[in-house]
Amino acid sequence: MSLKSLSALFGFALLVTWVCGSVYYWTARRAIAAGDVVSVCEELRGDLERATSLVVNGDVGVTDYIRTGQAAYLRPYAASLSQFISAQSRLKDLTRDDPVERRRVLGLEKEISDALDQLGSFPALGVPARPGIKKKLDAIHGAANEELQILSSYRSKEKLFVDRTILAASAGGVSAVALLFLAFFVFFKREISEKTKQGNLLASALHDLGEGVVAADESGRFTVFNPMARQIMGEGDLSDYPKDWAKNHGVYYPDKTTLVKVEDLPMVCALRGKSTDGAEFFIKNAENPEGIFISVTGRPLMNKNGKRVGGVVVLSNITSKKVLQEQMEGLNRKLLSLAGSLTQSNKELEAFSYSVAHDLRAPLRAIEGFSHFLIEDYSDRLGEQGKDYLNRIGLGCQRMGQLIDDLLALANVTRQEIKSEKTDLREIAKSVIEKIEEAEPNRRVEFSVPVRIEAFGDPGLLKIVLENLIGNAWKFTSKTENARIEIGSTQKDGETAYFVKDNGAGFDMKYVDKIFDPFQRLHSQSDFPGQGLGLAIVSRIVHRHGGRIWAEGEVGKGAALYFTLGGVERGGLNGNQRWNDTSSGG
Amino acid sequence: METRDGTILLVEDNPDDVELTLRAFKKVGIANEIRVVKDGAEALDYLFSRGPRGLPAIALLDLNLPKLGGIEVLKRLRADARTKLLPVIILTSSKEEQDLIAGYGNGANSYIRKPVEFAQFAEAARQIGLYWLLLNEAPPI
Repeated sequence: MSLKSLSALFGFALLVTWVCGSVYYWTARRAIAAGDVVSVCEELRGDLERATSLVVNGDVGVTDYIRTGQAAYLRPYAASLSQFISAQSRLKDLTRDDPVERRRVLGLEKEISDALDQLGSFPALGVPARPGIKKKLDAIHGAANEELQILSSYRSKEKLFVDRTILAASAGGVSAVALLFLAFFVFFKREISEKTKQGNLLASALHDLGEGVVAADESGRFTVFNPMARQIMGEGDLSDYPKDWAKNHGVYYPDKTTLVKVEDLPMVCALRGKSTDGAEFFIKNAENPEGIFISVTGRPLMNKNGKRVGGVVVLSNITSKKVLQEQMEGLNRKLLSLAGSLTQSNKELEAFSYSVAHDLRAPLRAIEGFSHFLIEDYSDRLGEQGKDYLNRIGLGCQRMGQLIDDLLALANVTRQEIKSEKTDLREIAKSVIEKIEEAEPNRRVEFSVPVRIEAFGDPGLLKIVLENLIGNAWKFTSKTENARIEIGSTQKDGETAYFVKDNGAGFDMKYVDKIFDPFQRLHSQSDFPGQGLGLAIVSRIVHRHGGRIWAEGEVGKGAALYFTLGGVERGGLNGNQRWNDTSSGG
Repeated sequence: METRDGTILLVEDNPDDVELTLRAFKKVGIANEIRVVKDGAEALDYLFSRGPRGLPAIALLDLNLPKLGGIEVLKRLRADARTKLLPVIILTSSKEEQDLIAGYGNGANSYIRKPVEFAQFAEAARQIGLYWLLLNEAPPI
């Protein structure tokens, strides 16, 4: 039932009660008035009867008066008449509201007073007129009787009305009380159903909740233990003591072996007024024989006055999260150990490079130097062939020295920290070209370099890139007439690609994948000498900048090497750079 | 002004390199006495046992030495008032960044990498002699 119709019902009951009250009030007043009428009627009747009897017996007094002439004989008669007149005037008052009755009363009054006047005039006349008086007295008597009848009917009518009114008012009162009862009943029923509805909702929410909810009163008796809580904690004995909870429900610290101390149990904390937030425990019981990890939040329960009345805890199964976390931690440990071994490897590589730099070069220097001394000191005894051999030994040593230097450069490129900045590749290209031209002043090569080539990268490493790329172009155009080398930049897939193009020997695209691998050469040593490390070094520098490198070529037509500086170009830290930062720190 | 005796101190443990260095200086016509010591400790003993006038004109210092490394020798020379100003030229196989920084950082006057090719080595010796023994004004004793 809606609140609106309930209010209407209450309102209606109030209205009925008010009407009944009013009717009671009115009726009561009327009943009092009717009571007055009845008592006056009784009085009147008495007076009238007395007066009538006086009148009836009047002739005795009157006769005595006439007989003796003494007025004292008329005194009782006069007294009773005056009483009658006063009673009649009261009757006139009482019947004021009833015009019909009033008219009748007034008519009778006139008749009676006429009769009395005549009666009163007897002594004055001094003539006894008994039969006339008798007739008058009879008329008065008749009128009085009629008046008495009127009064009696008036009385019974009045009584009937009062009875009926009382009946109606009582019925109204009873129905008002019934209505109020109904309204109260409906109201309470509604309250109860509302509470039940809320209770049901709460119960269903608790039932379906994916988290365990346990509540206890201040004595530690469980008042709520939802299904999920049962799934986690097991049935448990509702009567068990807090000190047995850990044992009975299998509650352990995250080490999986130590039972939780009673003062650390979140419910015990809650009952003592302490909150718990996300405490982790391990549960192993009949419900969870494998064991699960839970996270527990506990709060003391307070009533409206702030008095502690119990505690509530919420239990979440975090086993899968925990497993993931453990896996992650395991992976992290592995990663750390890998990083550690990587750092170790880097250190070893560094030591190796250092050793290569020093220890491999020293014997080479000796071989080269002493074969040189042999030629210088013993050329007359060696003969041409002997000198040729010693020259070859010397050249081999020089090549090997170069190789060692290149290998060291490759290793350095990997280890070295990248310090990127805004760089003009044109300036670097110009200095590289000058140096190359100086070394072979007899060659004529046409270089094409734009006014400016902006890049963001490590200037030292970019110089190594251009040295190798321009050096290769220079080398592979050595047998080309009208050799031409072009350096510049272009847009490729939304990135800036830098390039070095030549019209030299070129290469077969079949082998394009190989050219960036160390020691891979596409030309014979006698055609174009080299160690096969130049492009490997370039590729490594480009990748360490987060860029890409690729080549296009055709045998006899020339080659073009393109590279981007990817991540570094966009100005942010890239993975390589971070990796290097950590590795160089170790 | 008093002058040193013009000796060159060569701190070098590798006999091949000793021979190559001596021959390179001889080849380019540098006749100054070259005193060879085989490790860092010996180098310090030699230098600290001599009076101010007994110090060499230059010291050629290898880095990769037994007992006491070249950088450690350099540090001790610079920490001692007697050898603080001695011109020290590092002559080594390495041109690793860390060695360059450690060398200059500890007060080396010059850093020369030994070339593999003897002809270049001899050229280096010639320029060392020309610059450090003739052109360069030595620090006062």
